[in-house]
Amino acid sequence: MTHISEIILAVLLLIDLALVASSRMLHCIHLAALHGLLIGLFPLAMWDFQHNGIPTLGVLLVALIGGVIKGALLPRLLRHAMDHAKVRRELEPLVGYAGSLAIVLALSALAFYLWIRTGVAPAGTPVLAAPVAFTTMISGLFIVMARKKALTQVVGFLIFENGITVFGLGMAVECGLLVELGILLDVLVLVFVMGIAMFHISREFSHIDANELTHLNELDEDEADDSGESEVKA
Amino acid sequence: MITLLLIFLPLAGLLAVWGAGDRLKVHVWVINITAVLHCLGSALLWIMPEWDDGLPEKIYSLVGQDVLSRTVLSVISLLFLLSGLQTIKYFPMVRQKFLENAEKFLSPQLVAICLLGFLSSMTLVAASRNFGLLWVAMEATTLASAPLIIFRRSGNSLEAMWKYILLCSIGIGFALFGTMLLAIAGGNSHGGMDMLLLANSNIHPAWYKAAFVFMLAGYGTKMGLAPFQAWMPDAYSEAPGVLSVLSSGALLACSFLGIVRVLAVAPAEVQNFCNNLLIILGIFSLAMAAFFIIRQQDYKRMLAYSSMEHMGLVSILWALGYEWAALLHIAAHALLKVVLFMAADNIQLACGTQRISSISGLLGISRRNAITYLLALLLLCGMPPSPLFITEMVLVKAAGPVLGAVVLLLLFVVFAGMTYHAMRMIMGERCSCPASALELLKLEKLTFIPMLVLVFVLIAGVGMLLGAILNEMGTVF
Repeated sequence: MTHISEIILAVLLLIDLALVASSRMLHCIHLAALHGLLIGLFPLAMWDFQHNGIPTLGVLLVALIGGVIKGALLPRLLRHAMDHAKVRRELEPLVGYAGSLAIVLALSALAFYLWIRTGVAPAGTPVLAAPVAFTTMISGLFIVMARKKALTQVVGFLIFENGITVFGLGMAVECGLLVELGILLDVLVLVFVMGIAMFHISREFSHIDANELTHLNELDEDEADDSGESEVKA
Repeated sequence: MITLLLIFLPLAGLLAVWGAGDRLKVHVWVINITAVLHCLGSALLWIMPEWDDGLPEKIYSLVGQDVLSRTVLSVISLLFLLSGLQTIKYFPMVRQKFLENAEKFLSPQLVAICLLGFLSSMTLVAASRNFGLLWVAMEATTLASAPLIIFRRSGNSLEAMWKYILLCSIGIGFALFGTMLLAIAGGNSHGGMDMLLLANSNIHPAWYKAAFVFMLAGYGTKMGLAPFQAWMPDAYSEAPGVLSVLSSGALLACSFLGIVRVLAVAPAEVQNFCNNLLIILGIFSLAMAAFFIIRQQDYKRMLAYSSMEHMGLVSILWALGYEWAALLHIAAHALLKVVLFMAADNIQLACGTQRISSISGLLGISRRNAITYLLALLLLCGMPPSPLFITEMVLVKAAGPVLGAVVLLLLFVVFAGMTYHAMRMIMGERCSCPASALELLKLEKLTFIPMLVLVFVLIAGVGMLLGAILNEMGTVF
């Protein structure tokens, strides 16, 4: 069943690129939901039905819970946060959309080139798995760095985490059921906590521009003192 | 058995707090009872290690104890107990203060829940024998401690929390990637994340190198090694002292344990590479901390940078092969940080500010707090008879002339910066303080636990120093 997993990987790659280039938040969240759903299905696609028969309960459980959490629950949480914060678009990103796409594409090409050149893929794993995982991680990190809104940063983090999951699944790393479920639970709680933080930030500052959160900075503090002192003197 | 109990005990306490509703007294009592039991449990692990047996093999491949985990666990328990005892008086006082000033703050119930969750996840970090589980627990510590940072709900604390949770999660994400690489390095067989199995298997050196770099970056972020430390000063300066105590002492020890666990399975040919990387990061942390301490404006941020400095020292000690000294350094640093953060909290309550330049004449305002703060700061800088003096001496002796000189120079810079700032706060004209005479009196009483810890550290330091001197004399004669 390698074919289905390769198709899923290709679709994941396309979603990464679409995410990097999209400005509407709702669109981003929908894409992230699709991304998460595919990641949830991925363990099933990797399962060797011909040799091993019906998947074990553990694999089914991880696929089901992963799909529900990443494909439905997290996007819902994000949607909720978006409605509360009243943001629709990522205006004035730090790097333009065409530029972002070019950078991520270049990095992705580099990942493909290096992976094929080193040729260290363990036997029996999809060829696309590692490069797609790297591209996903890179685009996730890129979204976190190049976008201003806290909400987009959370989406970026989710994509980054999905990339790591793709790597683990694609390289057939055995984590054990407990650990897999633990990772999923952590991610769920993390996005929940981030959502609450976002809610408070939007109430406190009436925006969720993470790059304007710069009060706690050594240099700014000094400048603030200087201006304060000069005012007193004046 | 004990290990499992220790992990689940705080969770039981958490449920109790949840059920108790909004009764502050119950929260404080649950925290303290849990702390005492946890402490007894970790003491039992030293005295009666055989009581930990008797569970199915499957559980022991996930959690277990060795000397390292017992040491870290003891540090965690002790710090939690100390901060739990401090909350008995501290929480009601802070609450009253917040209510008077009509400031927003986190509900005490949530604080208690987060603290207990934090304790449970740190225990799991210390006990885990599986790299995957270690990662899960480490991420759980981030999640449990993040809400505590917005204890005082202000714009600044929200910013600190956002930075903490985003940076730590991404850092820890790298560690997860490293964990997967490690499993591939170990041959990707079933149980590729089991520490004991990995230690005995043939590990592919190139894959291991990649895994180590990512895991060092990941757990290094959590540990506050430069250049991954950006969240640390913000989080420590905004969080209540109780949390700062736990993260600065216990959490950093846990993160270091993560790195040490990876090092423990290193194949022989890459051991040098790993140790060199640790030394480089250690020196870099030390240098960065020295730079920021000298020009510091805020006495709680200063403590955060000092944690960074000490984590750098611990990494260097470990890389040089002095494991006992690294563990001693962690424990002594943790205890001194308890004293310092608690005293800093009291000073903040007394003076209403965290800025060094707006405080002066602390000796006249809150004498005991001022003296405790200064003494602990001196001990933290490695003034004999501090135990840190011994470990730093071991470090300088082992590091050779060049590295030793660099470390000494940086330590001197840190010492100069810290004492300069502390003296500015303590000496001079008495500054205006918002606290009333009665509150100041109460704050004086809050120094009981920090002073107790200080005395303990002093006695331990004197004992060790005497022991070391006698030992030296024995070799001379």
